[in-house]
Amino acid sequence: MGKFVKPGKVVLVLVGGYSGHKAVIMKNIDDDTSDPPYSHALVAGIDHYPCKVTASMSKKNIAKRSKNKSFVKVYNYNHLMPTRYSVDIPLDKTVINQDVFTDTALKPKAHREAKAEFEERYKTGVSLFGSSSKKPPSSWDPALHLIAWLCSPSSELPPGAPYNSSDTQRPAIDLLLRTAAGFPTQSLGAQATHFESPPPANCP
Amino acid sequence: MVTAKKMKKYLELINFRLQLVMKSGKYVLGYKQTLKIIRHGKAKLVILTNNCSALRKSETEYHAVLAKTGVHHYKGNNIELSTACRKHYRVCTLSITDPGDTDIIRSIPEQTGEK
Repeated sequence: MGKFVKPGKVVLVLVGGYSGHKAVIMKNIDDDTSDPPYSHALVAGIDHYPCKVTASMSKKNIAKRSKNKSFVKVYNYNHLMPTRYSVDIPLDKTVINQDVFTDTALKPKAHREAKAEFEERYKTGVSLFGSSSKKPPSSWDPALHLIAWLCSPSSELPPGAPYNSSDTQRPAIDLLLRTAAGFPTQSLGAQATHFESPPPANCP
Repeated sequence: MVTAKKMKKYLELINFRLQLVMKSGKYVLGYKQTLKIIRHGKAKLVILTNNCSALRKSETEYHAVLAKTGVHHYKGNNIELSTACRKHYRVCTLSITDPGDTDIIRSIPEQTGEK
C-alpha cells in the first residue's frame, strides 16, 4: 500500500552483466507508457567493488585497492530486487540521467560522478570507524564496509510491520539478501542500526 | 494442531470473502502480476498458499513488507485457492487491489491474529 521503489533505494541487480551487484535508484518511472514501455528505473551501481585492504599495505597500495568502478543503467523493475535499505549519497541528477544513453559524451561524466560519490562515501566511512588514523583496521573487508556505508541506518521498516522476524521460515530470500550484503546479519526484521557499529572482523 | 472444525470455519469465512472479491472487487492472480502490483503500491492484501515455493514466498513477503502490505498465508494449496476463486487454473499467489463489497482486508488479519 506504499510505493517503495524510490530514488535513493538500494537494489540488487538480478539480471545481466551486473547481476548480484548493488545499485542505487536514481530515478524510477512507474508507468508503462514512456520508452521503454515497462516500469523501469535508472540506477547507478558498483561495477567493481574496492578490494580488501589490510593495515600492512602501503598507502599507495591501499589507494589503488580502494578504487571502485561504477555503472549507470536502466533496468526493468522485474530485474531488480529492492532492499529495505536506502542511501543518502548525493548523486547529481543532472549528470546521471537518461540522456546518458543517447549522448555518448555524457556517459563517462555520469560514471565519473557516480564513482566519485561512492568512493567518497567509502572513504569517509572508513575514518568514522573508531581508528584515528586513515588506515582501515586490519583484516577488514572494505567491500563489506562500502556496503555498510552505502546503506544508511535509515530503515523504512515500521515497528509494527507484518513481517515478523520471529516468524516461520523465510529461508531462501533471507539467505540471499544476507549473503549479498556479506554480513552475518540479524534477521531482516531488525532495524539497521547495527551498521553503526563496526562489522565483525570475520565475515563469511 | 488446527482442528477440523476450526479449519472448516476458517475456510468458510475466507472462501466466502474471496468469492465476493472475485465478483465485486479487483484482484490479480499469479506471482508476476502480484509483484508488479506490490511494487506499484496498489496491493491491499496478498494471499499465498501453503505450497507456494519457499523462495517465491520469501520474495513476495519481502516486497509486501517494503510496501507495508499485509500477507495472508492461505491454509490450503493452490488447487484449493483456485477453487475458492472459482478459477479453472491453479493459483498460488494472489493480490487484492480493491476489496469491493467485502471486508476481507480488515477481517482476515483479525482472524489470523486471534489464532
